[in-house]
Amino acid sequence: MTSIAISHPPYEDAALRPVVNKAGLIWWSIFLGLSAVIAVGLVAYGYQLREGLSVTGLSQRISWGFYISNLVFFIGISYGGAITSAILRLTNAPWRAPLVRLAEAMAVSALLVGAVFPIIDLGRPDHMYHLFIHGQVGSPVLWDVVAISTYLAASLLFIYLPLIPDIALCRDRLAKTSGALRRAMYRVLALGWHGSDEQKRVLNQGMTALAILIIPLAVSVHSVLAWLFGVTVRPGWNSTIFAPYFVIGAMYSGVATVILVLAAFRWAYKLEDYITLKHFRYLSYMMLVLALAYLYFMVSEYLTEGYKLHESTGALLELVLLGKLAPFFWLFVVGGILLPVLVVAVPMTRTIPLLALASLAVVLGMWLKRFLIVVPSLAESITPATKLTIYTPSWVEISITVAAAAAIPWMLMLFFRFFPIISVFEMEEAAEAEVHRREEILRGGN
Amino acid sequence: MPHISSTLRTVALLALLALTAATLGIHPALDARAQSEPATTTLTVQPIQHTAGEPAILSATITDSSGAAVGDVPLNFYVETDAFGPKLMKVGTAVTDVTGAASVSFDPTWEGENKVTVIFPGNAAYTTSQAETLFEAIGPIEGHVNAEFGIKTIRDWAPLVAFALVIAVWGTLLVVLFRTYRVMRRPRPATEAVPARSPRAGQALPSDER
Amino acid sequence: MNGENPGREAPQPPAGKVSRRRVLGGVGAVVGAAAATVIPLATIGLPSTRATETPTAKRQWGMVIDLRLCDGCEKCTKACQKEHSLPEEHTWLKIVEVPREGGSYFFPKICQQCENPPCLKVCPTAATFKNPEGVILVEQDRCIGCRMCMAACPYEARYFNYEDPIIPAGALDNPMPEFPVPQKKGTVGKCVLCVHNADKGKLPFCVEACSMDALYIADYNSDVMVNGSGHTHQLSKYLYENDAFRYKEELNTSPRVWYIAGHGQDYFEY
Repeated sequence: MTSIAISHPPYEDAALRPVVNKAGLIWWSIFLGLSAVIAVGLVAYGYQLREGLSVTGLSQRISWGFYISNLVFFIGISYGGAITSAILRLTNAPWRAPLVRLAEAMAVSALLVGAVFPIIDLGRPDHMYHLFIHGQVGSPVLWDVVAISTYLAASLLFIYLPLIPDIALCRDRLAKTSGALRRAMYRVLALGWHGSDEQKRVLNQGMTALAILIIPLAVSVHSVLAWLFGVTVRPGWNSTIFAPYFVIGAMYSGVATVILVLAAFRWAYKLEDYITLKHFRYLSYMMLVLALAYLYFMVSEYLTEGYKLHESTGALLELVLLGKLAPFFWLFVVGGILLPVLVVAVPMTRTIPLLALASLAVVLGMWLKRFLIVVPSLAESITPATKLTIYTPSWVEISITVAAAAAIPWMLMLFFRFFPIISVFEMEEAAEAEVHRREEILRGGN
Repeated sequence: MPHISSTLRTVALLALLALTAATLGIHPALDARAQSEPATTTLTVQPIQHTAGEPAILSATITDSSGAAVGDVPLNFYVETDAFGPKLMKVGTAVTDVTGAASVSFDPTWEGENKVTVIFPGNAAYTTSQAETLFEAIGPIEGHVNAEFGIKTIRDWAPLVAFALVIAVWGTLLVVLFRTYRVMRRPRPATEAVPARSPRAGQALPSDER
Repeated sequence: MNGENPGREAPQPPAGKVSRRRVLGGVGAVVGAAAATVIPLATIGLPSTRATETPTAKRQWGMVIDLRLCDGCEKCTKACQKEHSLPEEHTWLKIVEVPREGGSYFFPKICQQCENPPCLKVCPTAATFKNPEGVILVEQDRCIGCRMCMAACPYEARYFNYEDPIIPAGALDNPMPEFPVPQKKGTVGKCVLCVHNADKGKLPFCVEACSMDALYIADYNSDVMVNGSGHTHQLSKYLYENDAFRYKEELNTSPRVWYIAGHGQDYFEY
């Protein structure tokens, strides 16, 4: 009986490299460094749990600050996963195949981090159970909880389904080199996958259903977050386009985060053969379009608000566009929109390092923009009782924010220690699809 | 000895007569002016009959001590409330006509006993006086009704629709999970050969650029 | 043995394009089935929206504030803070000095006890509720401290307890919505129109403390308004004759607090 030499495609080796190789000094130093940052954040939160929200820089007028900005920001950057995995899947873009695992993993990590922030912001998190037994259907906070948890469940399922064949791959290929615990984990999570046609069919049906489902879910999550602000009468928040404004912003920051994560992990794990300049170009074209769309929404907001100057909008616009917060606003416009647009538009600057830098600028800029949406509308008065209130974030808020940012690469590093960094299953799918496509062209040509 | 003409004597006598007459108070106004104290007045409140849905008419008449009507004076009408202790709430002011009568219209705000007090505040000529009466306000009397807000149909149905959508989404997730789990756990049928990974799968996508 | 050759089978559609119609059909079926089962069930267990209850009690409280008389002495603010053991930054009734041509006037800003309250609509746990007399109260046990109500209130009338309040020695520790004393750290507090006093036939502390006769407590049902000195007026008539207005009327919150303008002011800038 001839034994078939099983040929492993090269991308499979690349995908399993972080799983197979022992963690080196660099990996450990980065991981421990991130762990330290996260630990500081946890200590800060523990302090806040004991002392209450007085340890933050919040006040009677500015009752929402860093935590709510972070909530919007981190949920927003998770949209990169929805776009890369779901939208590109439904539009049958074959070039997405090497990217989907990284994008989805980033999306799930960002979601997990973002979903924690409403809890961090609560004055009495120990009473949170009231939300579930006395929840009010009319409250945007409840809409938030429902939307985020549903989206998280869908995203977890969406990353798990194509992971099943990859876990089976680990189970089969790494059986000899893994410890007992790891082998057990692979066996359990692989659910008995053996690659039959029926299994593939069911898996694909599930993934398509989820891809279709996850798009309205994603839209709903950020719309609901926008309505936290949009249902109030505060200047700057009292706008009907807040929901699409936030969704476009989320997609914009999400695509930029995907580019950033791809650049980082491609460099770290030497995936240059599979994640190429082409991928970065395509993603940055999407980023360019989203940047211009976001700019359009911003202009629409400020123009209609600025024309009417309803109530205290004049004071708010003066604060953001010309006053104390103007440096931050214009920094965002130039560094977060105009420069990245330029870097993508000019062919000469369309290199991976520059695109990664531009994405970093977008990510940081979008955080700043979230802050500029949440805080100034609270800082400006809506009654004659208050004029301008200053918000100074405390070390607790800053540590927790930095810890949250560190938690995402931390989770990714840990995840890819156990699971392939490139979705082998989807790479196979894409290759087979390509083969069929060519066969059809050849057939049709006869 | 100067002669006082007879004409002059007549005029003087007539003037003296007039002066005496005036002093004796033939003109009633002069009579009152001459007095130093205001006259007492009596107020009478007419019985009040209230029918449901209609305002109650509160009327009162004021007369002086001699029973003559006092016209052209203001009367204040009060209803007693028990807001933080018994208090008089002014519900109107009316000026009396020539018959000394004045009335105001009052919409009772609670069913049952209403105590009406009418007070004449008094002026330089007349002393103050007051009178009371009770009347029964007939219901139903509607209390304050909050204005309606929102569109009732949407308020009633939107939560249900949203709830159903959420359940449908979770249901779909569970169905996908369940179907996948079931097909994974099914053992490979003995007749099916082991599917190899397509050899072509190992090829790099030819359209890749570097 | 080379028995596996996917090319031998009938040409299958490439992976990823499998029966999208079937999948959509399946999803649709699930949605339909879920909706059909859930909608009848949902009518039983849905949480109520307390915002829409119509008050039915004997009293329907409101307030009238005479801006012609307020002199900014803040006796009302201090009385309220003292009686409710509030920290200094919790000004449930706040006296605002508003500049006008030729000087300024004083505007007591208080929770407007709206009939269409934004705070009530957005509260996720119904911690904020309207009592039968129309007064908006906070059930501190239910409050999770999300501060959505503070964002939604157009009158900046709600205050968050960042710290534990300082309770005077010997004070009772039995807070309830009608008398939320002491305030709990991590919850939101606001003017309760001293409904706890009304039950005992007492005036609100601010109304009692006002030495200028500027603050009145009003009962919409019996059409009465009374101030600290006992001056009583028929509410509807008084409001009509004095051109009373409500703050931010255009927001449709339908406040129960009326202001009597004087000093030539009509409406604020915002």
